[in-house]
Amino acid sequence: MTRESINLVIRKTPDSPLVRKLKIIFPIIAATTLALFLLIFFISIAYNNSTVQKYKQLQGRVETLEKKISSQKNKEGIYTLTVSNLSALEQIVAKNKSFSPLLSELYNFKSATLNIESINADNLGNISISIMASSSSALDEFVEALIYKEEAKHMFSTMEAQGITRDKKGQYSLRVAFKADQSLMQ
Amino acid sequence: MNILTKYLSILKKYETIAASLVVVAITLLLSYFLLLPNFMQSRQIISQQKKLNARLSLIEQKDKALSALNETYYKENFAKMNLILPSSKDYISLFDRLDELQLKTGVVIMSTNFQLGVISTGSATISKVAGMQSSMIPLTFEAVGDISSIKNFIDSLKEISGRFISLDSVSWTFKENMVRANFNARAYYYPLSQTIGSIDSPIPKMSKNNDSLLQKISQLPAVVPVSESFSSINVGKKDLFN
Repeated sequence: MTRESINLVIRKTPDSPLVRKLKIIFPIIAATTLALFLLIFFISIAYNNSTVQKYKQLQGRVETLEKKISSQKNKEGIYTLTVSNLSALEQIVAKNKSFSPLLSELYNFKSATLNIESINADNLGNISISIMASSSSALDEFVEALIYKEEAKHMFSTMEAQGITRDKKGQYSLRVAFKADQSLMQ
Repeated sequence: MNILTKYLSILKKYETIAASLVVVAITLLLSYFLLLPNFMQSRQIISQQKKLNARLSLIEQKDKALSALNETYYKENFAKMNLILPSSKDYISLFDRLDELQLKTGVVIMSTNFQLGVISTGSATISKVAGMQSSMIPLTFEAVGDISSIKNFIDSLKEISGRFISLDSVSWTFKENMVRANFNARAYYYPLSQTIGSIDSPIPKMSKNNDSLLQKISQLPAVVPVSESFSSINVGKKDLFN
């Protein structure tokens, strides 16, 4: 009795060079990808943990400082109010005008022959002055003095005489309106 | 059966490649589900850390600035400042100021007229001056004196030594050596803010002008609290029979 043998192994067809190459490259890629993933994953966990730790420390410092600042609330309040009050006061003081130099300047016109009746002034420098002169020459002197202050000293401008009257005693009264320079209102 | 054998033989032939592809695919999936959230979390923590760092530097600066402040100095000067620019209309201090100037300069105040307007505190907005932080009370008053006392009076009004009054217009009438002056003026008040900034808001900076103004105010005599000013009053006998 003769024995017959049957080959059950599937016949191997030889791989093409490309497949052979791929069979080497693909496992390397897979292993590298996996290793890389694991490496980055663990690094990211470690990094996150340390960042969270630092964040908590930072938060702790912020909270401590906030508590410290809260305890100084009164000091902050009084300082803030002082600054805002000072700013408001500074605004008022800066806009404030003085009428004292103007009064001195205008009062200097008074003489034995010229009497000042009244002066009206506002903080924009609009002035009107009423005078009483004992003679026409005194009146002339006053007008010349005004013109001198306008032309040579630039103290006054836009002068306008609003009317001259002469009473039965021979006294002249004159009302002049003009604008005073801001240097007289400092 | 033949087809199955055929597929099996193909699978067997490419199993290394297939297994590698499966590993890569699983790694990609894991990256998406595990790594990406980690990165997102890191990013979030870093951005929050940046914000916290900024906040920390702000509050560190604020703490430093606050620590350098002398609370007593500001408290004392705030009380003095309240005399110059009170938080309410406080017409009593207006009378006081004019009385004080009258005594100091020698003029005689003939009449005063304060236009106080609405008495309630809400009226602050009504008398607000355009472009100014403070509110104002229009007032008119008449003073009589010689020329030098009237000039002194006007100069004294400008001083920062009591309730601040600014002049809008003046009319002077001269009779012999006496001057009658009619003043249109303004007194001011500045309602206090009820709130201060948040904890990380920087404290306001004091300008040079503010500082020099504060220096002037600090030279003024200290304000005696009302309770202390009455502490020396003798109350007399408590028991009438002993």
